[in-house]
Amino acid sequence: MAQESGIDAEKPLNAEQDSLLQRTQRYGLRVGLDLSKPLRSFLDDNYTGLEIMGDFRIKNNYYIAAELGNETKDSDETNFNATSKGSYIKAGFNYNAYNNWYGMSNLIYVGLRAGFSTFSQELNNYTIYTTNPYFDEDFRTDSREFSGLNATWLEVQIGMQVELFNNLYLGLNLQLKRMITEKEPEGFGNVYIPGFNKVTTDSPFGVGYGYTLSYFIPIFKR
Amino acid sequence: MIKKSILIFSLLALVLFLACERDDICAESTPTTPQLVIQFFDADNISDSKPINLDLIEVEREDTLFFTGDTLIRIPLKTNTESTQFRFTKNRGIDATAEEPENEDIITFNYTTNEVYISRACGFKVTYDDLSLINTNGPDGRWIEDITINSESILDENTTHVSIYH
Repeated sequence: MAQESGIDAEKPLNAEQDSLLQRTQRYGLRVGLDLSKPLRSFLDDNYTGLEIMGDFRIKNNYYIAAELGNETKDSDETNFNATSKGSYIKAGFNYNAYNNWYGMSNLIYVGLRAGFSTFSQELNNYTIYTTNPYFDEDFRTDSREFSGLNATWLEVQIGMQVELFNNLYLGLNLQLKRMITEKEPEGFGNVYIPGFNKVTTDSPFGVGYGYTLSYFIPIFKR
Repeated sequence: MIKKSILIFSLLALVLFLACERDDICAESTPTTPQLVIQFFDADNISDSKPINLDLIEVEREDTLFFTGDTLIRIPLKTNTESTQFRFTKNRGIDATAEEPENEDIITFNYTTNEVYISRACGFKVTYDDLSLINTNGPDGRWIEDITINSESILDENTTHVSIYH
């Protein structure tokens, strides 16, 4: 471990010594996978999803970051059943608030993302909601597809990335999203938006989480 | 720093928890498929409400909707067809010698339907337009002296759609 202590600042060192003594930090690309999505795809019959993520360190504590994903989700509601299908991209940055000891590069970060999703929804079946049960339930199975839907949102992430060993990182993050724009289907509503997740009635907010496994590819030091 | 992070994590986890399962029940206050609102008036004095004892049976069904001493009733219309036919029986069980004996009229309501999405919890409703009706008296003559449509559109239950004078 290089230590700066004991160096006399008044005497300039030659370039070779300087590089040995400087606390260099590793910069590079981290790429990974959200483990929660394949796991959920395996456990939950109503869900299939995949997300790849990446970040790139640009300054000491700043990383540009992005996620790219695809999801299919069946929403089995009390009065209807619908399937949402589509892809999303989220891009932004992370600010690392964790002071690492020299040589370590773990993160506890706050991140900001702009999210964009393009998707379709298929209404599989539904029941007309009535307050009087006199007539038999009006259950309709004429399935309808609503395509060309999209949404944009802003997202705040709080997360951590811990180096397990040799550039392999395990990460955890929580996401709070706020819808900015939303193209709603005519005669129906957005129930689940890939990347934004469940759409709550009369609320612009969404939530999410991720468990990531990623690999750090060092590119340069400085 | 770590303590702070744990705090922020727990807060966010709480938000996440609260956001779940929040809107899964259709609130009673939400307007869903409206029923037909019928008001009963005195045929001799058309501005006065007149209470009625009424049994209603849709012609293809066997179960009865009972109304006792009401001046305003709400009845469901079929959502999957554009016509609902009800037997309106006044004073069931009152024999023919009484002043107002049992008497059955059949009213056919014709309309068009519109399907409207409400919300995740409530799903879809149907509203009705172009309401028209046909009153057919049974063998016992008519008890309904006059019937008028106040509103051809049935969008909610806040207005009277049909007035019956008897």
